[in-house]
Formats: sequence, structure tokens, C-alpha cells
Amino acid sequence: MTVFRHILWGYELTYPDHWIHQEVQDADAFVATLDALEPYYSGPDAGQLLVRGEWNWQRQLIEPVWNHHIGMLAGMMGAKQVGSAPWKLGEAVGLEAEIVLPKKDNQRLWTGILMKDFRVLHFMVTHPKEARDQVEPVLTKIISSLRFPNRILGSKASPEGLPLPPGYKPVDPKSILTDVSDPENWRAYSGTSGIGALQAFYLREVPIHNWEMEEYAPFPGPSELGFARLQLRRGTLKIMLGMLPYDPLGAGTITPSSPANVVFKIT
Amino acid sequence: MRVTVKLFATLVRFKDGSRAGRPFEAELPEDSVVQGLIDYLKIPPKETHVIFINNIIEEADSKLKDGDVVGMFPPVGGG
Repeated sequence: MTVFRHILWGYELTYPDHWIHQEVQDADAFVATLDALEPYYSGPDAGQLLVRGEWNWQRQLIEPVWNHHIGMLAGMMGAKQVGSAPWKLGEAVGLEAEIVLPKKDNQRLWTGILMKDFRVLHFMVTHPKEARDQVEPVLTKIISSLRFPNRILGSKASPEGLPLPPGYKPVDPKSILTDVSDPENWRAYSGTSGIGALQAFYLREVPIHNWEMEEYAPFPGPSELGFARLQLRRGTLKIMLGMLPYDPLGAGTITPSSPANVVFKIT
Repeated sequence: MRVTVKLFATLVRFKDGSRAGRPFEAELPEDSVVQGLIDYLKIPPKETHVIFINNIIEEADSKLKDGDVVGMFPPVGGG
């Protein structure tokens, strides 16, 4: 078995060695073959599990999060009938449902969400109806392996000791903050992780790296900053960290799952 | 049991003479949970949003043990 650890959202899943993990936009897919990522693939190894994280800083109750999730999904898939039931896995609680798709699709769709502290994980399982006996036990086993470890090793740190999300590369601060007058005091890292996932990462990693969080303005949040901000202290070193969402398509739309760059000022 | 407490941002007003992150000690009955500490400090229920026990995010119903370091943070710190 292979253990997948999501260093940003802070969860792990165990899947069979011959299965594949693949990032699909802002979700993580688990399939027996890459062909299974194709819509309506009906080979003998069809079936996929998609897992996506959501940042729920407001601690919104599970029901409205679920209603939004299920409404979007049912609308997109043209589902005619949706029923839901409580779902609990370890310390995480949530809801799950079989979504009845139009008959012509010949697909089974199951979905569920689980909430743990400020994180909501969205699960979606799809496979051809006739593959259920074969694939469902595997997918159930993968989902049941969900854990939220207190620490996930593997994150790197900046020279100042600030944890950095994976895949983030140092860039000229002025390429992101065009109006700063003291670029020598700023550091900037560019990457493509969602701003919600970054906040989950920093809230977990900051205290582990012995930084004290003095202020936190979440995004989205009531501060209307347009980005997430953390003020951190370690001894005499103070860092103002910003997670700045951007619109990769240039359509002017920023959402809670928009990718974000990381900048910080050292004082 | 005795735990070390650190209050951040606006929560510092619930401890006289405290500053953000300055540790102080609290004496609690055995088998206390974090909510017991929140009640002891007379912090209204909606004022604590993030709770760290020994640097790990936990919930208000999490059990405490002697020597724990508890950090508490309000819904929005700064803005």
C-alpha cells in the first residue's frame, strides 16, 4: 500500500500500490489507471475517487456547506434525486449521499464531506454501475484510511525559518508587490496552491516551527483585505506574512480556492 | 493540574496585565477540557476560535493534562 500525504490540507490516505494518485486542478484523484480519469471511461479498471479541500475558517456548520456542495453537484450532473445521511470517520464528521444520475449516464456517483477543525474535505466517487462490486470495496478502503496527522514531514523553510509550501519558488518581491519602497525587507515566493490550502498549511506549520501567531486576518474574511495575513513572531524576529490570491486566467475573479503567492516582510 | 496559557490578539483583555503571547499559569481540576479553561478565564464562548494545545490545533472539548501549553486566538486577529 502507498500512503499519500497532502502536506497543505494535512490529511493522509492509503491506496493500493498499483493505483495512481494524480492532481486534477484543485483536487486529488485516485485511480487504477489514468484512463479512469476520462469521463465515462468504462474499462474493467474504471472508477475514481476525487478529494478536494475547503477552508472553513468561519466554522460554518456542516449542513450549509453540504447544501452548497450537493446543490452544485446535483445541478452540474443533472441529478433527479438526492438523499443524504450523516457520516463520521474518526474525529471528522460530515454527510454523505448517493446521487441518482440520469439513466443514460450509466454511472454511479457517491459523494460525502467531512469536517475537521477548519478543514472540509469533499469526496466524490464515480464508476460505471456494473463495476460497483469490483471497485467499491477498494474505494471504501481508501476513504476509510483517512487520517489527519498532527505533523506531516517534508515542508522546507525559508532562510528565516518560515515554512514554505511545496513547489513555491523565490521570486523578486517587486514582481508581486509593485509598490513596496523597501524590497530588501521583503521575500516573495510564487506558486499555484489555493489560498485555502495555504492557510491550512500555515496554521498547522507555524506553531510547529516555533513561530507565534500574533494576528491572523483570514481570506475570505471580514477584514476586506483581499488576501490572508499572518503576523508571526519568533524571539526578536517578526514577520508579516501575506497570502495573495491571483487570477491565473485574468478574468478578474478571485475565489476562496484561487491560487496564491506568498510574500513576507521581515522586521 | 497546572497548564500554561497564552492569549493572543483581543483575548489578552481577559487576563489583567497580559500581553499577546505572554505565558501565564492556570490551575484547573484534573480531567479538565479546554472549555473548562475558557470558563475559568471568563471568556465568552464565541470569543475563542483557534485553540492550540502544545502547538497542535485542537477543539474546545479536547482534554488537558498537566504541563500542557494552551494558546487561544479570537475569530479574527487584526485586519
